[in-house]
Amino acid sequence: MRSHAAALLLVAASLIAPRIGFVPTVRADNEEFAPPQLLESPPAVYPKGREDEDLHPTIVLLVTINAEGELTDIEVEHGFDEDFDQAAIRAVRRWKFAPARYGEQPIASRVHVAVHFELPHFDLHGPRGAVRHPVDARLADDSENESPVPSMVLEQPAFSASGEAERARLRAEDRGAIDLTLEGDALRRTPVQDGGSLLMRAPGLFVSRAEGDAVADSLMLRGFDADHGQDIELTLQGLPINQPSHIHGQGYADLNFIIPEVVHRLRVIEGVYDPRQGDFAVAGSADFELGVARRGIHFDSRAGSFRSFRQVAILAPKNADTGSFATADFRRTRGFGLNRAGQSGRIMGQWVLSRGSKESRILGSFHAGRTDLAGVLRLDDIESGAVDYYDVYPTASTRAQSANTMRAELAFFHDVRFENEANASVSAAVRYQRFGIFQNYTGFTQRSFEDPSWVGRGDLIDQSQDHLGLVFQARYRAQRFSLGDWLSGHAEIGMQGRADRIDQKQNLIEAPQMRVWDHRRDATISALNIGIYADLDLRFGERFSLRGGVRADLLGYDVEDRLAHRIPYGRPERHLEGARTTALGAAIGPRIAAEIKAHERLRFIAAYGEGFRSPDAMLLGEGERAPFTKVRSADVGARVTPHDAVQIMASGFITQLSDDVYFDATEGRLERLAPTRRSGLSLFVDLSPLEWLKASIAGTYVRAILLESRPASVDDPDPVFEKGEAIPYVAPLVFRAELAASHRLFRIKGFDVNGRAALGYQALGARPLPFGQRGDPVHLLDGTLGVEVGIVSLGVEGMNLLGREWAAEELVYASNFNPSMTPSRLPTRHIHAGMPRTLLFTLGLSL
Amino acid sequence: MKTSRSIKKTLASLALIAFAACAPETSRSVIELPIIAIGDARDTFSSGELEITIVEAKVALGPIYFCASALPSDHVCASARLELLEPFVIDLLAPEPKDAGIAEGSSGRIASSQFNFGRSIFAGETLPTPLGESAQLLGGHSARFSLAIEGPEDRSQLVRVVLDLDPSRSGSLRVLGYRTEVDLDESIASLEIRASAYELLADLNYAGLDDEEGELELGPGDALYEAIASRLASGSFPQFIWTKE
Repeated sequence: MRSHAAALLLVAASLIAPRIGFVPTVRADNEEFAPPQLLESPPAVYPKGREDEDLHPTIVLLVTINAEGELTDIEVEHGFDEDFDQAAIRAVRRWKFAPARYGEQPIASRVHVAVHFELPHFDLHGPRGAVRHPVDARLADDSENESPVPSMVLEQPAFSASGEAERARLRAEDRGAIDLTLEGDALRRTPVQDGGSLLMRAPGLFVSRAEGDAVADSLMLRGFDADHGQDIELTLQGLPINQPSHIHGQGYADLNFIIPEVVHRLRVIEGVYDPRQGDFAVAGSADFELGVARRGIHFDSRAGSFRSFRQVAILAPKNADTGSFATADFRRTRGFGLNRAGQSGRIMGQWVLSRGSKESRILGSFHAGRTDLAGVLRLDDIESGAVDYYDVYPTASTRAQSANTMRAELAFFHDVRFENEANASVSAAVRYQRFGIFQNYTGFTQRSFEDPSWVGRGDLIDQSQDHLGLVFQARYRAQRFSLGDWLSGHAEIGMQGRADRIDQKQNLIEAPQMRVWDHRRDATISALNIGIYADLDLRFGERFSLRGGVRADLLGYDVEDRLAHRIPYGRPERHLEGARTTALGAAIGPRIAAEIKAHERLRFIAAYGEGFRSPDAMLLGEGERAPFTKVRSADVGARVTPHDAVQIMASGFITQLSDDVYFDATEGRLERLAPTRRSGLSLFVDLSPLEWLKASIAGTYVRAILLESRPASVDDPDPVFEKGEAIPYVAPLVFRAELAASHRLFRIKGFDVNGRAALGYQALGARPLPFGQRGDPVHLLDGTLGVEVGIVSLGVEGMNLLGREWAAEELVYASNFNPSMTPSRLPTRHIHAGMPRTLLFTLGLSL
Repeated sequence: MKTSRSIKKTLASLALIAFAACAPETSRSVIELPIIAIGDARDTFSSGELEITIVEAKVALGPIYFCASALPSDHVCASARLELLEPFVIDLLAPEPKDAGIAEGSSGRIASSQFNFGRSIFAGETLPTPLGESAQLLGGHSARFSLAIEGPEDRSQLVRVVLDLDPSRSGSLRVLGYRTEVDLDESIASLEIRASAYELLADLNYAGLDDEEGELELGPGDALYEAIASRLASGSFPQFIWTKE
């Protein structure tokens, strides 16, 4: 008995207030809703060796109980120290629950439970070992409800329910074989520098930052070189981030405005199988959900290599919802190598207002950044020693490379819950985004269209755009219907709207005066996207379910191209330039996923979906039916849980595009390629061999080929991209493995010293390059090491610990960076250098 | 246990299928092609009453770019299929093959070439720069011809023509869109660049060149100078012969 806790108190708490989802709150006295019930609660075991300390802490845990009454997730909401936290977790794992119910339907839920420890001489055990005990003022006094077996009680007379629970239930009914939600510590085991790097945790998703802090990350998923986002739909709490017809790449999605510390959850769907997925869900989609689980005031400082410095401040009021927070982030670096200095700042704030069955959220974010860019280097120049791997070419034009960005957004979310699981939500956002970049990809090869004698002034391309966007979403989920035991389900309809006004320019600039010496683009684009969908979620008995529906989109464009019909070297006084074109197109496609539950630990999933990629408005002709890229995607996969500590997801997939694109460095933008197909295998294994030890392995192998040759043109009568060959720049293999440990190390002067360590290894297979070449494979090792004592944490983070030179981006084309030599016009390998070994020391303070 | 075995089998099969499908490559292969310059030993011809002996006929060629497009434009050959950057001098009277260098590029269709005559105006500059053997063997000029002319009444004249054939503008090439067609692949063993002084000069008009005795140096504005310059830069000079193994 001595080794057992003398007391254990279960205090039921509330279902978490809804933060994001479409399901509103429910009052506790709603007769339709029944919270989860605690059936058995074996006592917690008082930590060994701590009996003499006269401690009686209360540990508050946030647990998820699925519709089967199983515990699926436990988070420490308010801990004490490692020993007591783990003891509480071990105890709660043994408890038995009856699931929450809405009407007759069992549903998943998340509840706070508290475990109170008293010394052994407090004989507070009840008949079945569990003891009820009033605890702190934050939790309800349920003394009037004494019972031998503690039952769930409410934190407040009216509790908010289960936006979280309902969302979790929907999320569990996955779309596609790889539909993964990462949250909490799983997102931040290894170093996270920015919002984009969170995506590295998704299976097969490779993220690189070739162009600094003011430019979007480059993404690669399932054989798609998604560049800056063209093939991955990125959303923030459901609202789209990708920018259509962006001058730097269709679907450009800059995640630098996201402060990674306030990302609470990341959901990744690989493939296009959900009717909610919009026009950039080609390889898949990822949704960021904001929230701060660890409440309080936090300061986090980082400083280290290359005079890098980062300061984050987070305010997460303890009496507010997890979704309520305010945060600020400032970064500055001298940059590795030359011409890479930059700084940026961002603030984000969200407030959740709940009232009965309604919940509203207001989100504001502002971001500004500027960075110098080193640009590309020719590999032959590096190999000959003419330049160092982290150099910049020593010309005024290449030294003038830089990027700047500004973004402001105000978003509003509103959820309402009705009876019998019916619910609705509306969200809208208005945002302004400014983007500018000076980049010299080709050196000194460009000739002016204005005057043919103007050449050799430096190919410094100036791309800029102002984007004002409005997005709107609404959806309604009808009441659950049931036809006996064999069929039940939901129907949902929704709509999404996006209106964009884009002013964009592309010029050639002569440095260092930064004088325009040629005009390449001057256009205004108005674009409107209307999407509607219908979705059915059907369960046939216990073992088979079918989810899917159809989505239809209408996209309209109005383009004023002020440089259209330009005659190179023409006399402007005799020729008026410019054109206005309009286009409208529609896309419709089914998305469906079927799941067979073969065994409690084994599910098979098959999915098929037809999506689309919207066109770059500048490529459209007058009256053209906007030629969407049709995406057809299919997955067959399995989810296996051979052991409680092991979860496996595996999928074979195939994705076919009617018309693909590739990055043309000479123009600095995407150009049409040809129909393509990717087929491959994804694997994700999550391991928790010990309470304090986590590991994961994720890999994707893909075979990506061109289904037709790129059409010949006058300019390029013999294109290098031919039928049957590999899609250039697409790595066949993406692999990531993580190992993380977190444990109490020792006690010193009454304080626990908790340690944490993690390693992440990432590999990218050799990328096929044009002209039969192959890039170099990439091997990166990241790691973190830290200790936490009370409110203070110290640590060190390392990126690219192997110190390998690696190319964040590799391109093949002709260039000439030395105008005093006979220029080679042969396409050759160019690289954007990736980050060298980088160490950052961290200091955290939590109040 | 049964389920566990079937899971293992399924996963192993999927992995095998995936890795058996070997990753495809991109098309095109790297080509390194020897360039051989060949002249023509014929050095005498008649023009009216004149007997003309070609004493010297040397032309600098290069850099040479071979393009997929046939259009004569600076804009359509930003990426070359094959190139020889270092200019060389071809002796139009030497029938023995001369190694002119190794051209580098990739396999694919070639439809035209663009080239200079040993002198380039680099991007951003206004004056030409002699390059390679042009600077070494031709004093920085593009071409040099010497003709011994024997006229009636034993009149003789040595006519020298030294040409500078410069690009029309900075960063461009003197000859654009010069047609030569081949599907370049590993079966092509070499490129012969054949040039004949006889065919270049034999049917030009030499009238009046024997009016004076001694040596005569022609320059821009002189009819013969302009005729030779025109033939070099606008005619069918030189011949590109793609030889197979």
